[in-house]
Amino acid sequence: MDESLVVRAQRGDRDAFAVLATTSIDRLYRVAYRILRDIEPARDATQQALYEAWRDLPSLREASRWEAWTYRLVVNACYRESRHERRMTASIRLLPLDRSSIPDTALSVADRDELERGFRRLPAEQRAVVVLHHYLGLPLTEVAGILGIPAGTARSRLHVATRRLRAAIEADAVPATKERA
Amino acid sequence: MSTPHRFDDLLNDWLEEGPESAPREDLAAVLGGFPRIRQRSVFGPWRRPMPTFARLAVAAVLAIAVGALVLTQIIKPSGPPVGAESTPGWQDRFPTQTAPAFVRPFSYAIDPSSGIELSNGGQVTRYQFGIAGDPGPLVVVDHPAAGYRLEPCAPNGGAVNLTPTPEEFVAYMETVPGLKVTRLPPTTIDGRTALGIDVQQQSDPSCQEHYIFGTDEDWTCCWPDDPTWVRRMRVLDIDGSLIFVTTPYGAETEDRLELANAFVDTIQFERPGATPAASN
Repeated sequence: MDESLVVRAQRGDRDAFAVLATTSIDRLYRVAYRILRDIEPARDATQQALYEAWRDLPSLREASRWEAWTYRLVVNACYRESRHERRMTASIRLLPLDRSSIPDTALSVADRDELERGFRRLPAEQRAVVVLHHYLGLPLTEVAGILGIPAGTARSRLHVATRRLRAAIEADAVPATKERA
Repeated sequence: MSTPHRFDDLLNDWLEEGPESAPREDLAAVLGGFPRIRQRSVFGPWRRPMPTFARLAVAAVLAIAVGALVLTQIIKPSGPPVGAESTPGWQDRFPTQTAPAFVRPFSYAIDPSSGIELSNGGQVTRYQFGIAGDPGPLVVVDHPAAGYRLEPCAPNGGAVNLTPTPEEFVAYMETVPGLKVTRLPPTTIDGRTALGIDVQQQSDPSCQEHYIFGTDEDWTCCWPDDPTWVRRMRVLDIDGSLIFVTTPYGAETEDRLELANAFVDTIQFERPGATPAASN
């Protein structure tokens, strides 16, 4: 990432920010989707994060923190989207995935199904820690820094989330029933 | 039964699945939309490090200016001149700041001499006001709160009451294990009654995880916090939404509480029908 672009954008250079947005949108969307597990809210969260990035860029003190800072913005946007999602869950049914397009890997259909269910039951704060740590591969101290929480809190959230997801996987012997999200 | 290693592999593989790219129209929307949003300015030269000689120079100029002001106040005759209007307060002399896009705005009259500024731009439903250089916020406004969890100590917090009244919320807080809640006399913010509570968090082995209410980040998980720290919450209803105006403070910072109270008095909530602002 070219830090001079960030500095220019902080001074109001729209062309510089356009480059930053173009090179950042996919990585932010990937994280948003994996936290929210839904395309439309992930799209909204990604766009909100980028708008906020432009609006608040002058407050970013270190240009080198652009990437981590935008992760924080998109995670916060995901929190908001997840609240909207929670309000709508009474009328949304969790549909089975169309697996015909997914290559058969070591991840079994049952595992995938249980992970999906278990993950959706986690609060957004725990999902975010799981995604930042397991998907982006960030150490927990860095995850904590991005989320603005103590490292112990990040560790606790990951521990609880992992325990619940493991429990979901290990319960796969129990016949699955379709239920509301 | 999955081993820890196998479980991590499963989780990593599962997370890898999913879209890799945002839809192209989203990029077009962002590129077309962001130029219409004003960037927030970072107020004041005090945010940047200054050389010592510059600080001394600024201090000297300020001292001279203050001295001159005091002299003029002493010398001038008492009472307003005949026909003069009353002297406006700083709320009238300085334009209010308006919370930015994405939410219905609040406006805040900020006295520049107090040093208070909107300190975190990264949040949308939360506004933090602090003094430059201070480690913690002075006042936090959460808008809107997303209700409270009916079983705060249970995994995931149980069901959610999305539309509690201020009284319901205060009564609920009094029942949460690990919280010491002290009711305060109601106050008024922008002409609306605000219920007041002081909340302290204490370790409670029966409630290791709290999922209390749905704001952006805090107070949803993983307590206990410092039991000596007090959060003074004012809880009010704005057009059907629960709003928290919170002042965190410790015993050594009563002066901060006084300043925070003065600031809270300047908060104005948008009236129904007002046009949302697109920028600050």
